[in-house]
Amino acid sequence: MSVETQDKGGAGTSASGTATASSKARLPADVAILVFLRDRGIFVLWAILLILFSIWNHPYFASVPNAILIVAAASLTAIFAASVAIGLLSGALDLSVPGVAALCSCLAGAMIEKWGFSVPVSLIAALAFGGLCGLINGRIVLSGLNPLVVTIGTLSVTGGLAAVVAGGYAISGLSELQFMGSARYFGLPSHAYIVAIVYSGMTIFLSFTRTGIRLRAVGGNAEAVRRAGISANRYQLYGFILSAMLAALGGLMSTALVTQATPTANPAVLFTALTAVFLAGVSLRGGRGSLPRVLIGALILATISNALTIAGVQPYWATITTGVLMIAALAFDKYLTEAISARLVKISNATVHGSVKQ
Amino acid sequence: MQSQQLQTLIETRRINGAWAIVIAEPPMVPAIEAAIRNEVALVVSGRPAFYGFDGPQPGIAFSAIDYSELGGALGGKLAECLNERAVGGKVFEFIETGANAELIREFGIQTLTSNSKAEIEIVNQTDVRDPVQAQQQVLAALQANPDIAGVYALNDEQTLGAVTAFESAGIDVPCIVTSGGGDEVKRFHEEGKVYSYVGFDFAGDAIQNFQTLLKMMDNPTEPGPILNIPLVYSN
Repeated sequence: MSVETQDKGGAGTSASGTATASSKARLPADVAILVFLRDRGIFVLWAILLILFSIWNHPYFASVPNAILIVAAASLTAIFAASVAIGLLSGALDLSVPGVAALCSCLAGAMIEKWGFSVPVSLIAALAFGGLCGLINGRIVLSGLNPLVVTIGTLSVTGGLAAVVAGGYAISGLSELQFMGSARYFGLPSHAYIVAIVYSGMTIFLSFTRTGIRLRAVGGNAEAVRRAGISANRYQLYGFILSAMLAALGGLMSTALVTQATPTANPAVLFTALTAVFLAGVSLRGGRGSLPRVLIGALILATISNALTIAGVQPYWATITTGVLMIAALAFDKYLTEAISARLVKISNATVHGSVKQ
Repeated sequence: MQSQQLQTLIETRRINGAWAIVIAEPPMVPAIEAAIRNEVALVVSGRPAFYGFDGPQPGIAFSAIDYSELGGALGGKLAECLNERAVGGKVFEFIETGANAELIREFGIQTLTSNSKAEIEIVNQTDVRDPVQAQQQVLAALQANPDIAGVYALNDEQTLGAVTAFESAGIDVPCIVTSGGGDEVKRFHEEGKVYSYVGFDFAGDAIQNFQTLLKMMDNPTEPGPILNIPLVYSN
């Protein structure tokens, strides 16, 4: 899935983004380079990191088993990052992700271990309950309340409910979920397949379906969508529901990995996901962003953590490095977007004035 | 209960003894001084110095957690396992932040190093509280050090992550010692995946404190003892 396809869907795409997508064939070389760096810079960054770490940690880093480890480690972050990204693309930062994840994983754990439900029923119920959490979040936000405050509130509520469902303690011994946890199929961890399915499905949904394109359009400019006669609220609600369902999926994957459902809403999950999302250049103002780039963001975080662990470097450096990278990525994105806009305006002015003179 | 309320009960002689788990020591000093004056027996958490005393006080027992003892016990158990199995001295160390954790670490590694026959090499040091992260860190460390012989863990989450990491990598679980003691860790211990877990015996501590309190109530003018919360070992 090309990044450009993703970027031209939103009605609220920035001026430079829309212009670059529609007139790509006629872009001057300097603008084309800037656009390439903005849209593909994260891929270049990852490639550079892989090369550097391969040299530094030779021969341990550049190996197939380690690549699989990086993919496995990135998978959970990728799912939570997708959850956050969907929320942002539809126009709202959902901070309740860790709470919903904890609640849904405890619900599935309790259904399997305490109440005797089958695994498929429990998983479907947990995902559906995640969707319900999103629906509630969305309904409250659409009634006119601030999404940040609302989702902080629901983070607290869902975290508390998780403890209620689990009875205050972790539900352990969930070996029935190993098929979607530590199990490997054809040498690849089960999580990699889940991520592949989710990212492919969501990318197609956001780029090629009317609902997906409208969902992103709402995130970019809800007012424009309203004036086009489309119900913006409905699509924002979809964003909340999808985001919460992905959070629930992340919680279930996490539970499956360690065969334990923990009733703790771990905020680290949210911060790591946000780091991946911002590394990928997803706009906080909504509408602009690409899921494949979010996936690369998650892979970059896992790569850094993996390489530093192999090298025996203290873990604090991984958090320092990712923090610096995130700020640098934001600054880089801002600089490139402004530079592209400035050049396009210059070209546009030159064309208009040239036409007038003729 | 506020320390002022306890002080009121002591000054009015409505009680002969009390056990107080103290959150902040300085505000408790007037209540302790009142207990000494009124010959009321008290068991309080902490050490005499925390309350500005230079030693044992009449009718007052001080009960505290000795983190260095816990660290020493963990290090000793890990050394014991490494020596028994003769698997080398590469150790993955989980840490926690904070002054108490530093005490556990300092005495743990000191005891491990001095008791292990193999030369100890700490191949990784990481501070995680999440089993998934713990698992990922151990798996990554195994890339460069597939011969990790021991894991020094400080809680259930780190232990769970370490055990599942070795299982997932298809490597025999090495010597794992932990200060966690949840159900999962106990199960791992029964299955032989955790060599030993060491923790504070808070139930034993309650019995010890009440027995001390009853004894002091018979003679509250005698200096009270300085107690440690006992440790409980898995084997």
